[in-house]
Amino acid sequence: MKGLILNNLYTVEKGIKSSIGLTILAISLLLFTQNPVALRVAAFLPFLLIPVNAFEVLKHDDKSGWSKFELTLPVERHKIIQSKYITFVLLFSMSLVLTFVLFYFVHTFLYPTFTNTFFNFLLRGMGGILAIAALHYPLTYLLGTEKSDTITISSMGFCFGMFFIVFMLLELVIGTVDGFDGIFSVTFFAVSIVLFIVSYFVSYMIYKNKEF
Amino acid sequence: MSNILEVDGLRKVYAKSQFVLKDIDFSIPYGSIVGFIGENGAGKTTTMGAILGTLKKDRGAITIFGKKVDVTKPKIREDIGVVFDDMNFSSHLNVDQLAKVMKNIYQQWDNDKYNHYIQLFSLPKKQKIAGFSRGMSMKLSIAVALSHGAKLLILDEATAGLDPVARDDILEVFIDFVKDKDHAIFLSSHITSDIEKIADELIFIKNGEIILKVNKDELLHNYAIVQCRSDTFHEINEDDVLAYITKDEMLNVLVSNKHGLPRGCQISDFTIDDITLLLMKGENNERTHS
Repeated sequence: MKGLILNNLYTVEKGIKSSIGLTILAISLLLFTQNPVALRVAAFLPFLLIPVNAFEVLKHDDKSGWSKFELTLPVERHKIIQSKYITFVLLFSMSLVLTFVLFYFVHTFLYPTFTNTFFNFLLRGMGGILAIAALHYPLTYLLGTEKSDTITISSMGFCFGMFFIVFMLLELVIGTVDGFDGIFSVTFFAVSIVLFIVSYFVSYMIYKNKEF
Repeated sequence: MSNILEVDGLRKVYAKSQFVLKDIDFSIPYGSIVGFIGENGAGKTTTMGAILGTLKKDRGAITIFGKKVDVTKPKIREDIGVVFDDMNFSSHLNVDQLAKVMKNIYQQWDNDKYNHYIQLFSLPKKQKIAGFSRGMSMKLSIAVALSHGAKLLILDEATAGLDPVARDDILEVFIDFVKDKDHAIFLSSHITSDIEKIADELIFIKNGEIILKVNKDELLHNYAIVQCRSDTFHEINEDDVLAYITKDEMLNVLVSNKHGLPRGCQISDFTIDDITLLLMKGENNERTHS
């Protein structure tokens, strides 16, 4: 498993480094503006830039022939799927740590950043990328990497769809109560985690019958 | 136990293609190099894919190291080295990074052995695989296949793209690999001169069907390509005729016993390439010789 994850990370190493650099630059600029909208964007931007590299792994695997070769390795098929999902979770965690470090720095030396708005948009950003991943992986295993544009658009559509469905359902169930924003952000994040876990099992079901 | 690999009644049907791998049987003895010969699309890669589990078989049994292969139990693959004819590894890795990956996958990964082959094949350690030529990529794949204590090598066009000197070096490595009679190689190649040089057994496949299985020494000593007229052709023992092709008024015939030929048959010098051509392009006798 460790070898598979290592292979995934080496494959997109350059992309990860570039997106970390871009994230640091973009968040720093956004936070220095002290604009409330910029602060919101800065809270979820890392999740749109860093974990997406995990999706690129699948493309590279297909292009290089690794997706066929890895089936000849002494690892079970579910471990191969796990390695892809764990790679995503690692990059997701990296984004989270980076966001906290940058916001902490500004919070300590410039102005308070750890506000309710920050936590709301952080949770929505995390929920959003999890929802995107939840559809992106099974669709890629089902349709193949050559349909990556369709898959990306569908995944983003799914993410926005889930966002509004959760919003409307929550509004229907609890109404617009005090602290609704916070409750919605937590709920959307929780639903996305569930979708992401379900997605792993769906991907495995598709992958276990896949031929190369 | 004399066979490292046994394939029994292997069948594979593709839903979107007419191609069928037709219940093929063969075995690979310990200490041998078995050459798998056939045209593009004959079924070589399908056979290898079904053995390795990259493709799902529809029927048949595969036994490796005396154990029936179960795709859900991949531990057996520790002992199988694989080289495919296309690229095998991510092009963004370099030789050293690939070693780190493999070290964490194969329990018996031998870094010293890997470095030995990397040096032998003159591969740069820090250059990304993306910058490798096809020949260099094949050498790297062979180095990996030889560095994790594999007992059986399954090589699909492993010598393709290599220059003659590199091919010769690699063929020497293969011969050395099976020397102790505890290992074996199953090798497909379009370059039949490579197979002629190192193989002990030959398997010819055409349209998903094995048409000839033969020991190389037997082939060279007993088989022949003969030229004869139509009337003489009918005098040849039917069981000895494997394939024939008509050229003008003469027939080129592949026979399995050159010692009992009627008068009027002219034996010509042949290579495995000539036999391959006759088997692939000629009319085949219904009987499969094995």
